[in-house]
Amino acid sequence: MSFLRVEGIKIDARTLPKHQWNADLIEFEGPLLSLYKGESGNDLLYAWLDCTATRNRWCIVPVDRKSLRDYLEQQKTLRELYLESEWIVIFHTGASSKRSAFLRTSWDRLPDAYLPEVDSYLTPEIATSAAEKLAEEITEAYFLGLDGELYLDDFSLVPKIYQQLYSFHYGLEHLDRPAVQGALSKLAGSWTGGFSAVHLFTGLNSVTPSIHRAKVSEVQFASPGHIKLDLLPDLARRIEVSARQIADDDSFVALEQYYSTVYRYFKGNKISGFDDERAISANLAPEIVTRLKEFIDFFFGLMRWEDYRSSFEYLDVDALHQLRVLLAYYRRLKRLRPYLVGGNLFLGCSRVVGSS
Amino acid sequence: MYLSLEQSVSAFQSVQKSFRMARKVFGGHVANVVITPNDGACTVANRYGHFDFHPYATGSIHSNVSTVRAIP
Repeated sequence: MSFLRVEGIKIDARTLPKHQWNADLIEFEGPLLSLYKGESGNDLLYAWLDCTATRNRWCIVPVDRKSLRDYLEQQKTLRELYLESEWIVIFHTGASSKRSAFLRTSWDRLPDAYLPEVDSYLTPEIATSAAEKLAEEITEAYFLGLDGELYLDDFSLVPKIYQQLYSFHYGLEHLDRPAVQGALSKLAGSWTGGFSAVHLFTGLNSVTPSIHRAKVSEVQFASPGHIKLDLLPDLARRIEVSARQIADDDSFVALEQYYSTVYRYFKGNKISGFDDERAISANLAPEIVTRLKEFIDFFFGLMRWEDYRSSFEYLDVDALHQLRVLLAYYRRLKRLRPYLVGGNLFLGCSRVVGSS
Repeated sequence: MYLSLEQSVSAFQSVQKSFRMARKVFGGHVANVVITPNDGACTVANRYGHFDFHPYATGSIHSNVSTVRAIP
């Protein structure tokens, strides 16, 4: 028993970018279609094609945000995704699941038996619960309103910070997704050997599928202006809550005092700095751990995030690292304050076209 | 596994639309199997009748197969 012949160009696996598993979309005694993310944030489908007695043949199909959304909502077929793709990569797996025999080809060079049928919809009876959940959350238009005097570095910083905050909230609100939980577990695992809070934000961004990422749909600025995004509205509301706390003078003073108090406590108890890489959690005295937990609770109160407390417990990481993550979030959020109080940034509305 | 013949055939045919070589790995027949509590543990079926069956090492459901028919 052998595979059907496919014309294409053999490629070295080392030249392929790394792909990160995100969710299985079709399972039938095992995954048959899975969503992966590429290094540049692009989405890819891994689809089962064929088998022999010892090997399975798969293909990688690139897919854009709109087509993925259409497929999840049964507006497009798997066949259409194949036919839209600029390239397809085929590979084999054996008993060890190690991938081999990579071949770059295109849909029109695939044997007919490898192409899905014209009505190959992601019907509910074959869609995984993960696929259903991905489809459930719908992105909406959202404005980052801009006004006043802005420089090029402002245009770089504001979206970057906003994206990091968005990734953070995506992670906390999607811990039921195995890919998100897996990424956080991986990060948590690396914390024993050293942890930088930056990893959390980049790690969470890498598990956010394109259909849930904040996508720029329009940029215009002649003071006033806006960046129009297409994003998950619940996460945007979360950021608005945080932004209100940082923009309000009274709560900002309280947050700054809190930050100084925590820092002094770290220093006084010889706990390493906020971004120190050394792992020291294992040696903390019980009374210090108790105090750190109090700091965490206090932060949730200051940020009006009480309902996130259980999510943090779910992370199953120690109090010191929980606190470091929260403070890393705070430092990022704080960088938006000058723009918020200075009338340069308005969340959820544009002075050009009104509220979103 | 599925609760009924109809649900099983319908799901397989839907899978086959996306993966036309599916019969090569899954075969082309469906069997009716009676599962008792002594055979293993089952998950609760979803609304399409699918459930997972985890057989006990001592179980032998192969002897419980009563009907085998080709999937159209």
